[in-house]
Amino acid sequence: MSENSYKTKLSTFNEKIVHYLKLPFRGPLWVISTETFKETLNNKRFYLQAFVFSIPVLFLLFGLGSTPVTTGSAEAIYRAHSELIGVFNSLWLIWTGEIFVFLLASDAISGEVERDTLKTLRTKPIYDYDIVYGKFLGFSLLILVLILPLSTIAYYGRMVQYGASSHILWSSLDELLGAIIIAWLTLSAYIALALVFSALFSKSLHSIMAGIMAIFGTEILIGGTGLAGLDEYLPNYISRNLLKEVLYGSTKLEEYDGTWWISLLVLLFINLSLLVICHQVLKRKELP
Amino acid sequence: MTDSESEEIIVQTKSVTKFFDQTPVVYRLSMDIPRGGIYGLLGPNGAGKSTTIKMLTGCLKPSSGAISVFGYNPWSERAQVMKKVGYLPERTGVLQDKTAIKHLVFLARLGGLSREAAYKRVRIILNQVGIGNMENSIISKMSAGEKQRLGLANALLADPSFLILDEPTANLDPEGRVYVLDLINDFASQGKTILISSHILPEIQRICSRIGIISQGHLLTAGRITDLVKNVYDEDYLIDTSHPNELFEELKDVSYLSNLSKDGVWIYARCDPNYFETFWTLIPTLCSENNWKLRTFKSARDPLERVFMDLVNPQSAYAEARSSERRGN
Repeated sequence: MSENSYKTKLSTFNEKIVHYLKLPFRGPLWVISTETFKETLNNKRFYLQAFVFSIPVLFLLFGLGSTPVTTGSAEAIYRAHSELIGVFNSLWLIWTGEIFVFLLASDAISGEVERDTLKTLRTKPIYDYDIVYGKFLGFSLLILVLILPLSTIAYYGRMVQYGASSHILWSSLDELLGAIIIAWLTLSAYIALALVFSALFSKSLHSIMAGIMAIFGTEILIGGTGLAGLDEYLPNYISRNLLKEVLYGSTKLEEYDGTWWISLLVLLFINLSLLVICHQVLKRKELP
Repeated sequence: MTDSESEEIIVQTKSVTKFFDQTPVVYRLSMDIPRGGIYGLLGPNGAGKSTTIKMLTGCLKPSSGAISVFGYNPWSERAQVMKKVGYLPERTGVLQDKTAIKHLVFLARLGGLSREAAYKRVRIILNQVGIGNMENSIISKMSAGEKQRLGLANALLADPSFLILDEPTANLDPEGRVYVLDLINDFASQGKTILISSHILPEIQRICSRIGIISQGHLLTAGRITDLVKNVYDEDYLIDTSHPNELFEELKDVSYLSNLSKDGVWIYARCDPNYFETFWTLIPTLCSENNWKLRTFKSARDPLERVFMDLVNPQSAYAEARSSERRGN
C-alpha cells in the first residue's frame, strides 16, 4: 500500500470518527426527536398508555392498606421496594407495558412510509440515523417522563404511608433512580426493537403485529432456553432479579457485588445494537 | 470548443437500469444534464420518468449502472446531494394535522435553519408560491393544488441550485399551472438548474430548453428542443382565409395534397413531404394574387409533438397511417 493511499485511508477513518462523535449533537436529530415527542403527546394512544401506567400507582396509594409498620424504616423500605417491583413486574415491563410501547413506536417509520412523509424527510440533507436516533430519543424521553414521576410517587408515597423517617427517604434515592434507569432502559429496548420492525415493514399494521409477535416469541425462547431461568420471560427476570438486587441493595450495600452495573451496560449495548440494526435496515430501504 | 464541451455536467447517469420484480422499468439510461436551464423529462405515463427521478434523489437504488449528482452518488451520499437539491416528489407527503407554516418550519429546521430563521424563510417561500395567506391553514383541509404548492415550497426552502420537480403542475387548475410554470421560469432565469418531468407536452415545450424523451424505460432521444425539431415538419396543415370556399376549390386540383377537407372557415390538407416548399409558397401566392386575406396557415401538429409521437409510439395509428401513406405514395 502506498503512503498516499494509507494517509487517505487514515484521513477517512479520522473523519468517520469525528463524524460519529458529533452524531449526538446534530441539529436534525434533536429536531426529529422533539417532533416525535410532541407528535406522541398529540396521540390518543399515549394517554391510554399513561392511564394504564398510572393504575398500579393509584392502586398502591389508594387501594392497598397503609398501616404504619412497627419495625421501623427498614421494614417500610422493604415493603415499598417489594411493591414497586410488583408495579414494574405486573404492568410496566411485561404484557401491557410491552404492548403499549410497541403500539406507540411500531408505526414510527412504517407510518411515515404509508403517509409518504419519509420521502419528504429524505428530501432534506439528513442521514437515516438522524431519523432512527431522533425517533428513539423522542419516544424514550417520553417513557422516562412517564415512569419517573409515577415511580417516585409510588415509592415515596408508600414509604410515607408506612411511616418511614425522612432521612431514610433521602438515602434510598439512589436505589430508586437505579431501578428507574433499569426499567427505562428495558422499555427503551422495546422501543428500539419496535423501530427495527417499523423499518422492516412498510405497513403500520404489519410492523405492529410482527413486533408484538416477535417480542413475546423472543421472551418465550429466552425463557425456554433457560437464559433467564426456566419458564421465565426476560422482563420477569429483569424485574424479579435485577431490580430486586438494585432496590434491596439499600439493606446490604456492603455485600453488593455491582452486578447491576454490568446489567446496565448490557442493556445499553442491547439498545445500541438494535438501533444500529434499525439504521442499517432503513438505510437500505427504497421508497418506490 | 463546442457548446457541449464548455457546459458543466451536474447530473450524469451511465447505463442505469432499474428492475421491479424482474421487469426493467428503466433500462440502460444514459443522460447528462448541464448546469443552468430547464431540462424536461418527457414521456407517457409509466415511461419510467418518476423512477429515474427517484434514483436521482436517492429514493431508489439502481439495479445497475452509475449515477452522479454534483459528483455524489445519490443512493449512498443522499444527504450530500440534498444539500444542493430541492425535490418535489410526485406524491407530496405532508403532516396532515399541522398548519402549513409549522410543517414547513419543521422541514426547514431539518435543513439546518434556526427556528427564527426558518419562520422567516418559510413566510418568504409561501408568498413566492402563492399561498402566503394560508400559512395557518391545516394541511388536511387544503386542496390538492394547494398541497402541491406546499410541496413546491418545501423544495425551495434551502434555496437549492438544482430543482427536481416530478409532475409539478399535477393537481393544479389552469391558473395555477400558469403561475407555477412562470415561477419555474423565474428560477431558471436566476441561474438555477431545473429538471422537470411531465407527460404534458405543451408545458414542457413552453419552458424547457432541453428535453429527454423517455418511453418504456428507454431514453429515446435527448438534446436541445431546437435541435430535435430542426427539419421536422408536419404533413397536416390548417388554413384560414377570408375566402375559404374559393381556396378550397383551387386546392382540389393540387396533386400533392390529400385528405382535403373543409370545416367552416378552416381548410385541412395533408401535403406530400416532397412538396413542402412548393406548398408553403403556393398558399401565400394564391391569397396574394386573388387578394384574399390569409389569416392562418399552420401545421396541424407541433413539430415536437410529431417527434414525440413518432418516437414514443411508432406503432400508433397516427404514425402507422403516415408510414403506410408514405409507402402507398
